[in-house]
Amino acid sequence: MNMISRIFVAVALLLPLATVRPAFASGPTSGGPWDLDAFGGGAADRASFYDGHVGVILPSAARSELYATWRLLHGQAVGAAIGETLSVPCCGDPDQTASDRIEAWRQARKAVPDAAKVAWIQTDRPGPDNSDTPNCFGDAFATAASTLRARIASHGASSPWVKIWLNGQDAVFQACSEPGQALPALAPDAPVWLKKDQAYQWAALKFYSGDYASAAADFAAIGADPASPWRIWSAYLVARSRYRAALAGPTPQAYALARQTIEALKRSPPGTPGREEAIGLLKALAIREDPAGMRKQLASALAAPDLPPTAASDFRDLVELGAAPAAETPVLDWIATIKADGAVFAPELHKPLADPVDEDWRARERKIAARSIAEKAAARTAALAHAWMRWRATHDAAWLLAALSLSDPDETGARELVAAAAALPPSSPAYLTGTYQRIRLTIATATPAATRSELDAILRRRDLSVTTRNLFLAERAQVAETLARFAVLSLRRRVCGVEQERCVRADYNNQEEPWGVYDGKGYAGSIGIGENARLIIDRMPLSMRMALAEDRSLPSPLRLDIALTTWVRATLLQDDTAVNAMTRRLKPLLPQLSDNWDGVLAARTLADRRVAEAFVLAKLPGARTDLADYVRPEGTVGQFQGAWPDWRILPPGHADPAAMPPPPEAYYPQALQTLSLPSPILPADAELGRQTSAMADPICFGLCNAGAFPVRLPAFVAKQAARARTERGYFPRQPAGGEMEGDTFLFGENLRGTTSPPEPGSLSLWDVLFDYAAAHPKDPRAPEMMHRLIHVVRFGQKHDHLGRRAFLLLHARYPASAWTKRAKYYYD
Amino acid sequence: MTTRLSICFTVAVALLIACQGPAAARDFKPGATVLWAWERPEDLRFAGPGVEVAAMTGFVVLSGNHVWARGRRFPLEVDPAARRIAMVHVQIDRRRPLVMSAELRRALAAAVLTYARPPGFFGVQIDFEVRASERPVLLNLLRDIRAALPESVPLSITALASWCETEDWLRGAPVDEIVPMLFRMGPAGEEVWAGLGSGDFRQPECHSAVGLSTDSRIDRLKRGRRVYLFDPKPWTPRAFADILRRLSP
Repeated sequence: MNMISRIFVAVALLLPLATVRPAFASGPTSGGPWDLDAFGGGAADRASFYDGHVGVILPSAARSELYATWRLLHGQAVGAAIGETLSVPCCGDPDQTASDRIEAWRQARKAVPDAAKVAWIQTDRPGPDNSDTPNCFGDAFATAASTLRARIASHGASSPWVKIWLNGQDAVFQACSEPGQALPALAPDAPVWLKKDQAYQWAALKFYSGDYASAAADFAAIGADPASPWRIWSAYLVARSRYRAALAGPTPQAYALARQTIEALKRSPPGTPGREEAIGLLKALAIREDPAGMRKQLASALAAPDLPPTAASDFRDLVELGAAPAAETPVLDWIATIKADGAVFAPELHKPLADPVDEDWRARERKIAARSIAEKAAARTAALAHAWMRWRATHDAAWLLAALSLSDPDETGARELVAAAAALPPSSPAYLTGTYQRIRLTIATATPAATRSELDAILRRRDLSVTTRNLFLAERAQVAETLARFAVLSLRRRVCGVEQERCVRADYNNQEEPWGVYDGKGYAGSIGIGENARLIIDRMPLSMRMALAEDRSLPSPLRLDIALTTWVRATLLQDDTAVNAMTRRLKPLLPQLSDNWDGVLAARTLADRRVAEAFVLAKLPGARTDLADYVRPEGTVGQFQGAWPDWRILPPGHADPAAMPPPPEAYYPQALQTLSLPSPILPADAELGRQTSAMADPICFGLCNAGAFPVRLPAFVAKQAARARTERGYFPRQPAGGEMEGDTFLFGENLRGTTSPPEPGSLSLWDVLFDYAAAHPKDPRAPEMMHRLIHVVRFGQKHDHLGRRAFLLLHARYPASAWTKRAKYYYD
Repeated sequence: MTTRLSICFTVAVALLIACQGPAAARDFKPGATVLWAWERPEDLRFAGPGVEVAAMTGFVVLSGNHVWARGRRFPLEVDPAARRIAMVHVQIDRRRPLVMSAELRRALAAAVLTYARPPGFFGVQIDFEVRASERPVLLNLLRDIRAALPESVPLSITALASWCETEDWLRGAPVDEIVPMLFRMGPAGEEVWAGLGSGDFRQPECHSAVGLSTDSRIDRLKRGRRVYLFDPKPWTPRAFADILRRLSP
């Protein structure tokens, strides 16, 4: 066991165990999925799971959660009490209790006149390797506060003896972080109660200072003193002292002495303070003294029909004790396999690249991405081979599910797994996962009607968790019969809403809820369009999108999203009829642009229409042709978020035949682009892009399976794919950079593929707006148009010094305008 | 004569004092690469002595009317010669209304200072995200920390990109470095990146350093500034090598 593991074990075994809350301590947040939850979802869903209702397994779940799943798959109970402890990272009481107890002590002290001011109390002390070791815990402060209150009640707050007592207790707590403290000497006439209390304070001070042998002796002496009110704590505190002594100086003698003392505590009469801690202390000692033995013991306890209350910490200890023979801990073998752990299954690809750094930045990015893709593929393949072997050897459903989740649809052997999954009875805890994975592997080739029938039967069940239902809805949407049916199937219920269904994930991961994607404003709302449904919508032709934008089964904020992106497409396609139709839809949905919508509808000439359209777009930084990268406008115009593309209209007949829709990975939540995709930055490289897309899973984002989930377009969408492709050719691509400009690197937006300088003959809508405003100085909208263009360039793409030109014209022509006053700078 | 000599001597001494210049500048090395070591086991020895480490050494919570704090719980190993910055993370417990008072302000400063000065760390960084109504809490904390730190100890803060771009309330904050974090920016992120494409952060105080993540874009990066690097997973030699490769000029 290396140093880090040793320290980790020591930290994990301290009693009571300190809680680390990764959400706060793991760094900044990023957007996570809102319709899936690897922590089990809300309270009701978690309770159902602990009761044995296993939904679709997410291998990305915490190992403790997967351990619970393993038990349930094997018909072993988990139960609500232990289940809740397994669904959160282990271990310990919430920090809030300790914090409150320390604060209660600080407040209790104030009852003593002239008590020294104590702003804050440090309760840990420097440990090894830049860490701090918890030393004093909440219970000590609670005891001190109640003791002080009792002494005040008996002797008065102004009693000099009480003051001495308080000074002594302050020294004890000072020792939490700094050794070398001392208690004030007692006068010979000090009352007996104070002498007894101070004896206890001395023992505690020595304990916190790390002088465990002396502390043990002192606590033992207190235990032998019939007049000490603290004698009943003696057995426990002697045991703790010897326990800490053994951790600090691990020798066979120290372990033996600690064990003897703790065994004695365990044998003490019921009601002895601390007696219930004995088992945990013995276990913690044994893990240090005999890790291999304890590993076997823990594995056995965790595989038993009835789980101990300490199951969560036992499981954590088992994991921390390190790798063991698979036969000894099959659950850990299964967990590593289903997670396709790269460190286990592709260790060679974990190492840094050894070759020289390429000159060209593109080559660098490409090499890093290629190696990440290779690692992910190698890990999946190796893990799948292992899962196959285990399944063949055991015919254990857990291993079948692992193999299924690791398979790609066209994998050799997938057919055999699919057949085995089809044989799972609906009553099996493996059924829902087996069905989900089986459909994933066959949806492209199976008869849509059969797939629909099977999924409809599942969706009629009332015992599905929100996550599981959303996953099956995502599959069902891919075989939707009609657009109207698709609209209904595209909706997903949010797992953890703003009001929180007592989800635990907000406390334990660093993924924040997405914004502006629900049927409410900002973070509000409970329904949204699933990401894979967005992918399908983005592949629809204009006419189909227009019909969808009018479907009243979609809440109005979601219709706004579809209508606005459709409006942008219609504008670029110069389809005036479609533009007007969508404009009428958008008037009530986006009233902030009411005047602009009226301007579009009132335009009589092509030139006027383009100006009106450009003016709309100048106010919508988040407007896009696709839902993949669209940002919903919310609040006032000034509050709309996003960055403007360089909107250009291509002349008819000049569509780009190579234009592609956003790739599947573009629909991943931000956090999962990091965690699930093989390379965080996808280079503008067609081959690597193709490889990454081939591994993508825009339904579950890699949380459900290491194998890919290529999206199947519903038949009615696929039939119009050619039209959608033709239209796509008129939508702008993002620019690629990669050139030095002064001392600035410019990299391109690389999720969308490459592009090049503006297409010849294309018309910039920003130029349209500028030229109009320049030629119509008396138009009252002109100052605002110029102001907007400065803003567009500032938070968009550079365009022929447009920002500077607009700024100069605005200030020259309209010096008194409010728009001019607000434009203090230009950005060029 | 004696009086003239005295005057000359006095003037000479005064000139000598004046020519000493200001006290030695606090030292954040320009252009350095800094790895953020967050609250998890980290072994950064592979990075060598030339890379600085900003390690989370303290975790402080303002909860209602009191402060709770603890030190780092996970081991951190670094090259013995690597320069280290003590990063103290502060947050407000959103489950309880904050009741700020002079006493709480003192307690907060005391807690932060406790974890801001471990042996062997040359600088301090405060990581404290606040809402608009809580800005005085952060600014007061910075003043208190600055006043309590030795003059030679540089003070840095992390900042949301918007604090450097559309807001100017950090102007005049008693810090030697502001590190705008160009990752996890949410919906406003595209706007920030787009703005950087046509210039730099509006606040010049934000021009000396930047924070990036291994999984974020790193384009539009001005050279010569200190680069703080975050990895959402524990650092590995490979992740480190990859990000350095991507940052290579």
